[in-house]
Amino acid sequence: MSEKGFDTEVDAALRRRFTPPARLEERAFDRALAQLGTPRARRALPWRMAGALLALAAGLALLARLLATPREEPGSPPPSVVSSGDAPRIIETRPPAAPALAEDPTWHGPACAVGPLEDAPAVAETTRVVRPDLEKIYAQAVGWSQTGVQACTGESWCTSEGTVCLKSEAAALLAGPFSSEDWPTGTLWTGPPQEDTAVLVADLDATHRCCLDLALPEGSTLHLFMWRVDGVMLTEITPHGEPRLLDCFESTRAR
Amino acid sequence: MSGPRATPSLSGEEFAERYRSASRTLWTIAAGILGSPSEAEDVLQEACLMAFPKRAEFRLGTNFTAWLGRFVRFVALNHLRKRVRRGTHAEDPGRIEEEFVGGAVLPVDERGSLHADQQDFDDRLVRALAGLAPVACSCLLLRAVLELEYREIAEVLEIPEGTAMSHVHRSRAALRIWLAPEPGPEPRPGRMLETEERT
Repeated sequence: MSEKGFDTEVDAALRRRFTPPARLEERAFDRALAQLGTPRARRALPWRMAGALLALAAGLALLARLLATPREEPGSPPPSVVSSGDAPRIIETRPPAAPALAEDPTWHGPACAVGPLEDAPAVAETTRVVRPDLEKIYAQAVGWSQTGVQACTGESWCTSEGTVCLKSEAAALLAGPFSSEDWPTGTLWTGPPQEDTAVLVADLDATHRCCLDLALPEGSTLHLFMWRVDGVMLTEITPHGEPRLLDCFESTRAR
Repeated sequence: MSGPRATPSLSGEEFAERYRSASRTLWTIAAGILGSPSEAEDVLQEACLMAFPKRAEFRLGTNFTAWLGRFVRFVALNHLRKRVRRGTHAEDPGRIEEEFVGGAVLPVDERGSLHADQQDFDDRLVRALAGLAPVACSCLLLRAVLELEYREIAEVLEIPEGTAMSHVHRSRAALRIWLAPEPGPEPRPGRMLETEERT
């Protein structure tokens, strides 16, 4: 059989298996619209009302958080916040500070757990996109790890829903968790201790989708790797060409 | 002297309209990267949700399919990476190896028609696609299924036209070897992940 004849058969088989599904245009459109909030989607009144309530709750939470945040000091770096909406809004940022080690009930684990992974305070505010300064966050986190701020290890770290956990055998590799004002919804770890340190940030996937825009500046020597797992987005900022910390976490469903 | 003008961007309706018209191409790109049609629609939706808030970054007059295709490739590669990390390959690599080394009978007769076990051939073909690089597989599908010109493939995948052509030709050559009745070099199941891609 000629190569051409064989290729023809291959093409036919590919068409049998990989033809886009019928009415894909409409279905994909509708599925996306249901979450995009365009006019057709708004006809679903219950969802619209639920969204409004969520937006209100998130707004109040954000307002409370902003009021509790110390004012920016002169000379501090400009806010690394951009807006894609019609009315740009700027959030205050603070200069690098010591990592917050407050207890947070949304995480199961030692008392130094931080990171509101259960709530996505900005989810409903779809018009604002935050662009964290990843190089700054990396520098901060490396500084924390080098000064031995703290390391909570040896316990099982899991999100509040228990879907994503830090592997117990990986705990010794990581220092953290930390928090950064430049990425207030994220929870940070650093490691491994013996080599060029990488930084891992865990945040809700929903927060990423609505409100985060991650990018390293051109010419950066750092690399960005991401892994979405069970509603959580793990982001590794590293000087290495491959991720090393993503493997420290696992989905409990895969166990 | 006029002041700076705001960059025009897509309205929500315009975005939806373009998204709808590009969906078949984008679906095929996703299916090619994943090597399977099963998750392509989910990837498409996820990419849309990611791109929509950033639609102001789309420059009018440029190729919308290519722009949204970046999101699709990123999301699809993430899905692929997750699948690899979870170890949930669509097929057991050992099974693929066993079948190829076993010298399966080519399911086409001398006239090039498929035998009754066409299903088997199709299954083997899909498994063999796992041995192709994701972008190469997307090129092949865009060419074979949607019958796009190489120029169009190059545009939507943002690669040189010659590269698109090379991907298709090399993919076909590899499939000929892997699906031949004589035992040939084995495909390397498991996709080469483009581990760093961000739109």
